[in-house]
Amino acid sequence: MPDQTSRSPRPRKAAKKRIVSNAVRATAIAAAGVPGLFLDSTAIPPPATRPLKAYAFDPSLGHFIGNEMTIEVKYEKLLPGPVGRKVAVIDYDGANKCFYKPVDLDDPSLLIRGGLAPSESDPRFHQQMVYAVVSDTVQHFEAALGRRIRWRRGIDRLNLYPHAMISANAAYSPSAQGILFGYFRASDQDPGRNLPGQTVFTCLSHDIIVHETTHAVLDGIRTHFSERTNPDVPAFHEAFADLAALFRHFSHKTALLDTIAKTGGLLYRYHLQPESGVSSEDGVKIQAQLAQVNPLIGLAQQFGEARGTGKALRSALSEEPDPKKILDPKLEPHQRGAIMVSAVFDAYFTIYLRRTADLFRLYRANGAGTNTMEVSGSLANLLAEQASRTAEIFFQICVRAIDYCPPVDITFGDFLRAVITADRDLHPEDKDGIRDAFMQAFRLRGMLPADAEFFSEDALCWPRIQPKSLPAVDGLVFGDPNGLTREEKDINGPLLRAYAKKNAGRLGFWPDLPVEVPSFHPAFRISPDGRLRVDMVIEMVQQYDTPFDPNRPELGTFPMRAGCTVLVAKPSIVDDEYAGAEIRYLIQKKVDADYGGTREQTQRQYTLSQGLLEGNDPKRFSIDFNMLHGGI
Amino acid sequence: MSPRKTAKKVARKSGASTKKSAKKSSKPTAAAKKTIARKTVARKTVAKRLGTDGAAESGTGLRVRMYRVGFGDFFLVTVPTAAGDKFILIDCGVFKGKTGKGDIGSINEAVEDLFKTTNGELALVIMTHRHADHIAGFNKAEDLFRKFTASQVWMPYWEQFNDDKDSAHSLQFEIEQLAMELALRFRGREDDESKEALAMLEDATGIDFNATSAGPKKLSGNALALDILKNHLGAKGKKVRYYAAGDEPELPEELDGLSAVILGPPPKDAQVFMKLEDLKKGVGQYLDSTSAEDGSALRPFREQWTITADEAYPQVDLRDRPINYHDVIQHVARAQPSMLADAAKKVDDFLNNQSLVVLFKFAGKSLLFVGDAQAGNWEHWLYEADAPSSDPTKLGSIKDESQQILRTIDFYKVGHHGSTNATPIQAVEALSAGRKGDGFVAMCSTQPDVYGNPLKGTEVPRDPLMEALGGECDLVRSDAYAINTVANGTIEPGEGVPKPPKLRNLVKGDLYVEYSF
Repeated sequence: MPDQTSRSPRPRKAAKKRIVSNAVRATAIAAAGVPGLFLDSTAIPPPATRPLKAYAFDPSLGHFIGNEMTIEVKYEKLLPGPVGRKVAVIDYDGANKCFYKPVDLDDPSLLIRGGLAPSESDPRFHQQMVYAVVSDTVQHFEAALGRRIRWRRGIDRLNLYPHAMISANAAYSPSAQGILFGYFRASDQDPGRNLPGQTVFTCLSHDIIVHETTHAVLDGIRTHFSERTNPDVPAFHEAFADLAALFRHFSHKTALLDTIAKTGGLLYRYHLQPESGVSSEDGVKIQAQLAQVNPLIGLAQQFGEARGTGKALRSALSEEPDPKKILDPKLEPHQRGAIMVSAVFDAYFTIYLRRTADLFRLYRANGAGTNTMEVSGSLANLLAEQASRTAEIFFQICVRAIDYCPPVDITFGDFLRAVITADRDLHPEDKDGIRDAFMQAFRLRGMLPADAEFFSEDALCWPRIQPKSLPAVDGLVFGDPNGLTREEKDINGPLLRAYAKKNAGRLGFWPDLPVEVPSFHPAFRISPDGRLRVDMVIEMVQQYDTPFDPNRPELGTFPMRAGCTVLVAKPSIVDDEYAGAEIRYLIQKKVDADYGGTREQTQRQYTLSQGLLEGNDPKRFSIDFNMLHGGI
Repeated sequence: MSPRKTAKKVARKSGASTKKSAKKSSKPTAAAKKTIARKTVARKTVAKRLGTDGAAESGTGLRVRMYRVGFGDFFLVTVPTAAGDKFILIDCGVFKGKTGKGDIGSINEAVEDLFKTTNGELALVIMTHRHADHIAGFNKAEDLFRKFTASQVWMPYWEQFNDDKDSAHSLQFEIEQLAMELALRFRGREDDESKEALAMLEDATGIDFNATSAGPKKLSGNALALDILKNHLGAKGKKVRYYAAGDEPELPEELDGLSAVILGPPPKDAQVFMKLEDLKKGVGQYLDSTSAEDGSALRPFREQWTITADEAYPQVDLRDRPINYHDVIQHVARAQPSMLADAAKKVDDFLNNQSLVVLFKFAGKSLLFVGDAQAGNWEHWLYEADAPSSDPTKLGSIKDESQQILRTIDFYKVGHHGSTNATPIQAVEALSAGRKGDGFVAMCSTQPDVYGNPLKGTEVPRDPLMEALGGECDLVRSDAYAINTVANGTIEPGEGVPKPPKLRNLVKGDLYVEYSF
């Protein structure tokens, strides 16, 4: 009440007349004429995007419908290279030790036609395509994560080298602060659709660019995911990169429509229906009768064929689900990762079919046979829309799950738990059964969480933290969707480190060793009810050295890490003040006797099996993407 | 003056006098030849003298001699039979390695000594595998080896596919091509990794890539060594036997009382253990794709597209900070060689894993010679596994049979010159607890500072392994002994090498140490 009593008398007290003098009037009029206050209507508004041409798949598909696409890249001023703020293309050839002429995308004659037309022989198109696809991929990650992404610490601009090396490989390399793309000669014997011995560029494969960019993005979000502590870690990096590349396929409308037409809407089919049928007594005679491979579910077609394998590098649905396969210790990371990729795509196609079932029913009710491959134009449009929207949702689910993964030592089971938790957090109701589809697909392939009690949604979700059981993180600054300013970061950093130190034991760390906070970032998401959800995602990590063999200290040590991902919700305002910021989730990799001991043993064995006992260069524990068996 | 002293004095003197001429040509001068003759007489006396108050009194008469040649293996086993001493030569090679310090320049004299000792008559010659550090002696001392005869030559099973150029397995041909191409890329690079990779390739081919830019026109290097082994000693293959694990070897008749068991390499049906049974697929494919049709490096664009960074690239970025292109070049350059090095390492591992692993038994003594066998080779005979394991939990159980062998051997030839990758920890553990001083001897022919990097823990020999082995048995390292050569004088022990153990049955010659069982 005191407020109102003190305020109310004021207007009455200032009851004198409000007259604007002529002099004031004159200055006000003059001020209105000052240019620059409002957007001048005669100026050209800055463009939101920059259209750039690129291959939708790779050059080997030629002018197949939809192979050439235009990517709308968020507009930024570019220097020749192109060199932008977040990425820079620098065309240095490490094998021939020379630079190639850079493309100037701000050149008016290129601006007017959306960049250079696709060409294998012009390095400037290569630079343009790499820039376009990397920027596009980054934008998608930013949209899904609800924040700007950053590269790994120490890299503020990612360098892209379209022709870095002669090798059938491309690799993200933190030490080279960028992505190296190789080029090589196609196989002489069985080059697929390539000319025997032609030069094949990995930087022209849309899939390979997205794949490598994803490695870089993931490495920026989760530093320790590039430390091989168990067989799932390198495999996860690969699987995640493949998922990102594959889901991008479904955002490409033209190719999608064509594939729908040729698969009768059953997008998961490995082969497309030939344009012209083949009769029983008359075999294939013309190219239109050849069954093409479904480009949507295959990765890096040209690359695979050029290596002489005759098929795409990897496929989303490569084989029948088999729960035993994952147990095979001989699987190399890509093969292991492929199991997770096929699980996610199993879930995706299940949901796609579920969502389009009614469309098919209506279509058939209208007189179409049950087995027909013919799909009418309007049905194809509806199907394409479902397919691409579902793909977008799945991509978001997978990306958001990263924030719910432990910061170290990830396993496929952890990822499944993160997916379920992240999705349920935002969409408590699961109308289409997406989460169930995920769970079943993972279970069919034997990827089970090690520490969940039951295989049900409830049990798979990471446990919520009992309110008030951990002290509130007082003073945490959440910033806004633009990110955090330097000043705000300087508040949060020491605050979180102090918090971690004080509560080390309860967070699952050794109390007497330092705890690092490698990253914290606010995530902004809009829940289906329209509310803005703000969380701070914090990584806390502790490192300690463990001997390979406690009885033989001379054999050296390997680094063990404890870690937890902490999700702190931005508190609501109570009585005009923020309540303390409560921790909602604590996703841990602990070091305590039971769990930590098992983990230590697993990591020791894995480390030994990888031959890491030999040597003492600390870098050897990190994944070298370049060496990962033909990278890609 | 005792004969021993005379010998040393002579050696030292001649060493000093021939040093200059030796540098000009590796062939001994006429004067030096004379000294060799005198010296050999002296040497025999030395050995005899030590022998009478040493081994011969109670032992079986079985002896293992390790010549000190540097980084390489050169072993002679003497088997006493009713018809006198018979000889088994196991490998004869040396390699200069990454640092160039591997070849200490004694191998020719060592082969001369071998000739004197055996009179050029060998009952059995074993080539464990085709690396220069195991066969270079055959080509370096080609003329002398042409005077030797052998009753049998043993080679690893995988070797038989290597010569026929028409077969899919003409490995030597493939390796040479592969190595030449890899070398093309490594040459001129100064970083450590490249040097090591280049050394591996030279070891695999026996070709000095820095010396010759042209391809091998006539037989040289390893190809020549193999020619001597297969065609001369092996009588055009008639006396050559190829063995793999599980084969029952046929021993020359004169080696009466000796038996042998072949433990490695893995046979054809266990080729998963060889990791890279098809080199062409594993490494060659990578190389195929990297060069243009004429073998030159692939150029993706025509000359007109090349430019310098100063000419065309922005010098400052959008935040007005300078862009350092020198760093860019360094970054890209540093990311390059790892894959090439990986390819070179694959060739190296593949050949090492071909190693013939032989267990000899004679008069109750067991002697294990493992060549340079690495993981795949060991795993196959050591563990109960039907495939190589990347999960070492499964490596826990060593086969009873293998454990039995390891526990009861009296001699172990340390694999791969003491590198960690060639003696698994589990094997060291199985090698017996507390048998040190109980007549269990290991010999390791090596030379420090040739390969690897102690900072990275990859040095050969690996110190922790040497210590661990030294704790289990009496470890005799070739580089712990000074030797006396005519051409190069006295060669001191390797720097930092621990003092050799004092063993009653160990005899030291001018160029070797010999243990009697």
